[in-house]
Amino acid sequence: MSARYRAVSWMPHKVRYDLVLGSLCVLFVAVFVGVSFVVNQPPNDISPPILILRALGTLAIVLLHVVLAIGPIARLWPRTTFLLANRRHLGVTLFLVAGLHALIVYGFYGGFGVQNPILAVLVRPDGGVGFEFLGFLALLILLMMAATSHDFWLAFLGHRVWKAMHMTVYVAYVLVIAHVVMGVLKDEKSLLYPALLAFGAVTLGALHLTAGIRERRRDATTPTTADDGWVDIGDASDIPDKRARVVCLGNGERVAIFRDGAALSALSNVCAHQGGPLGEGEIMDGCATCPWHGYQYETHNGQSPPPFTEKIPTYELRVRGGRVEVNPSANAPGTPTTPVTIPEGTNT
Amino acid sequence: MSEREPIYVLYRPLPATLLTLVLAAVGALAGLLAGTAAATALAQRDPGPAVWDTSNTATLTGIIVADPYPMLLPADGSPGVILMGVGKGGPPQSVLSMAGQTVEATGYILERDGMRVLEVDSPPTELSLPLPNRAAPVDHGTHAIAAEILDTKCYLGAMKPGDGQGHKACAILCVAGGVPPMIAWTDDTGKNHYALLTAPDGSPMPEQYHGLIAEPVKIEGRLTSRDGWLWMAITNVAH
Repeated sequence: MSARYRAVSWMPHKVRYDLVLGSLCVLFVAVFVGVSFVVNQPPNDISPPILILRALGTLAIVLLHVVLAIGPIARLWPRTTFLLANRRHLGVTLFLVAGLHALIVYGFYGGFGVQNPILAVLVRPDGGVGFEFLGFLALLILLMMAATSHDFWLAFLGHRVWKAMHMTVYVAYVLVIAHVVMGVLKDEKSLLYPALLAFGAVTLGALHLTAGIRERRRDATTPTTADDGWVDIGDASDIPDKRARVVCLGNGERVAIFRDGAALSALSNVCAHQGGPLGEGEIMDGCATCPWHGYQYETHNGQSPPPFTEKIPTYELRVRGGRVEVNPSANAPGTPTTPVTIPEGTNT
Repeated sequence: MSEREPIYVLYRPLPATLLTLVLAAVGALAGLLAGTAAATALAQRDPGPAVWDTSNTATLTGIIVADPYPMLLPADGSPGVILMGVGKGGPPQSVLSMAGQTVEATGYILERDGMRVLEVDSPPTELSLPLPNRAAPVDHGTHAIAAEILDTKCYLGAMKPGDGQGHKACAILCVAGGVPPMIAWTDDTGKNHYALLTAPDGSPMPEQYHGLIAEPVKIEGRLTSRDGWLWMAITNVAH
């Protein structure tokens, strides 16, 4: 988290992440070009610019699959939540790789001629468009995402609008697949390419479907509601110290009940940063800490500790007959509440 | 997540219990990337034996003809060499203005199966030599050939591969710029054939066919042999 806006708030982990990611991209291009040089010897060699643009295009598709797989993987196997930490760096890298691919296409296929290089590639003589146009549209989406990947845009747009904008990555995915099917797959004879694309699509579909079904089932569990509308969330002993229990209220909202020693506090489960699952985090420095990017909130008021300014809704808690209950009406973000104390004798 | 598994927070040291998982994830990603790169590179189709020799300057002697496409007919009687300039277009005016003269031309050779292009890099030198005799064209009748309209410069070596959808935009740009269009096909004996395409009256291929470049088409027309090349005077192109 950051109290002020910088281009990138570099931290050792981010530097290491980017170095590893950059090295992996170089590895991909080097292996692709190296293998091609060995296999396709002159005079049957492939032109070097075509090799590079193919390597970059293929790398972009692989990175796109990785970007799209991280979300459901982290939902299905919470130990891998660390994969989410720098996902935006991965997205920006994906855009740069795809952009470089496009740049070579426009320069090599569209350049040195009697027309504007970009128009020469995108527009056919009859005014129609070819498969390149689909890739161009996908690149525009990736550009929009890369340009708004900074925390400034998250704060400016709000995480819901920002998230909705970034969900267009699935449109980009469909465009990229169509771009490949209508282009490369028409030229190449090997069944490996359609097989890989199909494998990628099926894998992504299965991951998203499984994660979605699991979340739906979890949310479908209806907690008991008292006469006055308060929702039973169970015994305090169900909540491990420094952790939270997440309950889906009848109105669809999720509330995270954190336990810090003998004190219980209820916060919205939605982190104000990117909408991360705050209740899957833990208490650090006395604050509820989001597992996605480490945004923190004081448990008694839902406010980020100064100088940070993020706020999330809080909820009232009470203990009746050893059971913890939550008022489903959320307080305004940042509203102070009094933590309830776990009754003595409760098995912890 | 086990109850006591610590979470990973960017600005804190990586929990020791997650280190192995992080390293495994990096290793798995490296394996995925390297494996995909190797497999997709290995599966690329063979672009065929075409050469663009930019390391040696070739010097050819012959007569320049301009119609329908600029060509140098070598004095040794070998097949005509298509003349082009740098980039996606025909030869410069300095070459065209010497049509009908015997010259010494220098440039870079592009070649596939003995069919050649000379990318002229300087104005040809006029020679005082007698003009070689040109054999009369041989008529092979009308044919319908399933093929793809290509541009000679790329397919004969400037780009490899220089055909297919991936190359379509470039091929259209080349032909629109004055690079002669052609078709290539392989007969039942495995022999490759190349034919330059013209309008029925022998003039350059009409623009109406530019949109069909790089598409699988059936081309009908009259086939003739001339100057070491086959020529197809198009009467119809079916997509």
